[in-house]
Amino acid sequence: MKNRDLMSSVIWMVMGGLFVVGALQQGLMRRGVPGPGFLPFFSGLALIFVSLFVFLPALIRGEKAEVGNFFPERDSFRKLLLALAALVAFGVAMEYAGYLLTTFLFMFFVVRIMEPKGWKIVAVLAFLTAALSYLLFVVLLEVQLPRGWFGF
Amino acid sequence: MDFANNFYLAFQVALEPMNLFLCFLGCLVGTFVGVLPGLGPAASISLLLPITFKLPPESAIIMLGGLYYGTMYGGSTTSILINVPGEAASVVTCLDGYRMALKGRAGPALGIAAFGSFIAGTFGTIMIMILAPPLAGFALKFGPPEFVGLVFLGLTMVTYLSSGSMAKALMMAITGLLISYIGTDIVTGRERFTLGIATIAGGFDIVPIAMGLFGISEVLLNLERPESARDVFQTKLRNLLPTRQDWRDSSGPIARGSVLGFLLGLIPGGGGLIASFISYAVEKKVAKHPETFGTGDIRGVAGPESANNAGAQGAFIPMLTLGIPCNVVLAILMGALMIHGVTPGPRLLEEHPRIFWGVVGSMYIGNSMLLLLNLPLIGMWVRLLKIPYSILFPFIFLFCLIGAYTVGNNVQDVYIMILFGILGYLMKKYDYEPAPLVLAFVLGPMFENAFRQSLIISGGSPTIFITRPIAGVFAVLSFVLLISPLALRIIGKKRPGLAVKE
Repeated sequence: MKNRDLMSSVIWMVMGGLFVVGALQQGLMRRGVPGPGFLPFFSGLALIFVSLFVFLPALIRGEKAEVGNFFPERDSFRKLLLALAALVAFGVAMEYAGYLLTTFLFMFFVVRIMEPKGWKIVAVLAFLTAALSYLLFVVLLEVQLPRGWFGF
Repeated sequence: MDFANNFYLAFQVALEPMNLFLCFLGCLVGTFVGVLPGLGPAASISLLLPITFKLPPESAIIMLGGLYYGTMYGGSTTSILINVPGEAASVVTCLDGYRMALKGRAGPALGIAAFGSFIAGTFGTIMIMILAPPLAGFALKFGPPEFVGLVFLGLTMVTYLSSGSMAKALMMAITGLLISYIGTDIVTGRERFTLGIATIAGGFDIVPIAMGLFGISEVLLNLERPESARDVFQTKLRNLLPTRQDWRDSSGPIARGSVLGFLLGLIPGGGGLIASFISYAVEKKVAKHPETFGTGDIRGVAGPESANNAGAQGAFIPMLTLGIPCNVVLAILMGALMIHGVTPGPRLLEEHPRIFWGVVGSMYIGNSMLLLLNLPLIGMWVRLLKIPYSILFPFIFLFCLIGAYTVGNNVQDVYIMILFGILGYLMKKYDYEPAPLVLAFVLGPMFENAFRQSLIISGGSPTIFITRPIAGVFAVLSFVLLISPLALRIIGKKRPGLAVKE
């Protein structure tokens, strides 16, 4: 399964299939008119059907050679994982440590890990970002952001 | 008298100090976003979204609207100066704009782009005033079957005009519909496809989905590439005002671009991108010496830049009068209005005249502000281009995180955004476009509701979608669009969306 179209179309077909099964459990009709499962059922079928237009040509072509690597650089996957980890960590930490502290740590970590720069500059940047955005959103606009342990 | 009254109301709302300020803020951020490559309008709406919750709905949409058409102004700057389009709709501007800059005529290129945008934007706004009320009146006659036909036609057009494989675009539209079914069924009140997860019992929200698919995924893709050095064109920007000869050359392209762009803006999936490409092609065709195109011809800047602005303006009409957003940005805008309890559609004009006319009035003002923001301040925007991406992207992340959180004061929305960010990243790697998915997702609930109501009216007979005249026309048009790629392939021609890609 080296062909990207082949693989992706199969995934979409499986997804269509899951909705079809789920829709059947919901019931297609109710008192002679469409019920909650009606449109999902046919949409799922349509997804499978249209996916065939991607799947079959890819199958017939049967390309083995890939157009370039999945990641453009050797470093790419590491950066991707770190970025995603940082995003999730922001969500988790914000509820406990509060917006201000989390934002400072997030900015510090993300800028520093991705493009190594002097830690003093990064710290100042992270501090300013956290403080100014806090001022703007929480103080001026009264947006509700988590306050965490320390109350900010 | 009606027209005069509306005009009065439009400016009365738009000139309120708060709205004036928000319009300016929207235009300012819009230009900023337009100038910076790698930050698109869809993600950038997230920058301002948290602010809108505190505002009355007309102020919110005035600001977000300014942001949207502001990006169309800013996008040309980078195309001309560094040969990198700040916005997809400014891709063609690179062809002649950058060449003009190389010839030392960056000033007039930027000037004509800004003036053309201003003229086209103003033209588009006037057309909204003229066309929207009768169109909304017409749409009031629509029943559920007509809406089913309209939404279906809209989705078909989006897939037809998409720049990649139509099958893939169609798959994304269907996926968008499927995602919109997740949550509580409106008719029976039963939970569907939620897998028992409480957060999505009410369905997904548009904001985390759009931010994930457009904001987060863009950054993830940019992160893996080595940062390309941006060669900002080093020149003194003098003579921003085009010469008399420039004006003579550009007046035709600007006029044609305005009309063309406006008409294409009305079509779902049309809008700025396609308008600018077609305008360029048209100008090349009508020119006496088409060979000068691509070597720094001012007509190649004037036409497309006017077209994409008129398109951005025109795209408001279907959303404000029919409740059909033509592109992703307007889909988010519509989402923002719905958060305020305002549903765009034929009744908007009657029920919320302040919103409708306020937005229209703000467009006149916004276009003038943008002209001022873009011409005298061009030097400032150019300096912004020197901000390295490594500093920029953490901010995009941060604003997406804040935006997603504040929609429902719920950290779960942040995780949903991250998931859609990963999905969007994979989709782009595998050549699937996210735009049809988002549009279908927004239209999904309306589509399903109208669909089921129609069948209740007809007692379960599906012929209701074909036998009613307006619905029938929509159905036939959709069918033609769906099968035409096959037909076009047989006679060896290409559909317009594909032509854009090349």
